[in-house]
Amino acid sequence: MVIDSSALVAYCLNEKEHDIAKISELLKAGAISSDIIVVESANAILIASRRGLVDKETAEKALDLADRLAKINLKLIPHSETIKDVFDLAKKETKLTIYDALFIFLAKKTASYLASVDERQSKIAAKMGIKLVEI
Amino acid sequence: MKLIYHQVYQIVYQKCLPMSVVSVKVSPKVKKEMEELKDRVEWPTEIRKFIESRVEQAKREESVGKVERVLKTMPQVPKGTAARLVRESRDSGH
Repeated sequence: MVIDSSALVAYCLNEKEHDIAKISELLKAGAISSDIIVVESANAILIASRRGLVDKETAEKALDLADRLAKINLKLIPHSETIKDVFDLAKKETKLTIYDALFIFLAKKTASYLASVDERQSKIAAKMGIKLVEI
Repeated sequence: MKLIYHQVYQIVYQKCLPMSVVSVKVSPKVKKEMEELKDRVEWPTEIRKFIESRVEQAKREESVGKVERVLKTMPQVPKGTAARLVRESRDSGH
């Protein structure tokens, strides 16, 4: 499975209405991701804290969880290794940012499922024939 | 290609990295069968790979266990929060 930043942040912020047990099982098996997941997740948690969506203590806990999972449960692929292919992929889809394309490309390349809670990214991935994890 | 991979693997592990010995007891019957199959099965390499893989698996399970315990102490955020925050950041500059 390839995990997108949106899914990791949803898990670490304890977001409602997600199948937390299922995400846990998938993470126990190990997942692949782009190394930008660390920066994107930290940034999202920081914004959540600044906007008062979570208190400071919760934000720090969420960051610790994301950091732990990235180090132990994820195989991180350096974005520099795939960036040219990712750029080509993003050029074909006007609604695809490089960030979205990094995860879609990894799922495509490794023939893996994609775990994302982002609607736009999921739709484009599905259109490309990538199977999605229902979380 | 597979042979070269095994040779490189063995050189790296046996010559370059410090190794420790792990002993495992098996029945005489299994030991005899292992002996008979030693030309087909590279036992040290396969057992080493299995142990390494199992260690990684156990570490991942322990990690998720710790994460789940912390999640139980945290308040929940509404559905869609993570997707919105990540999306905003990705789309900024578009």
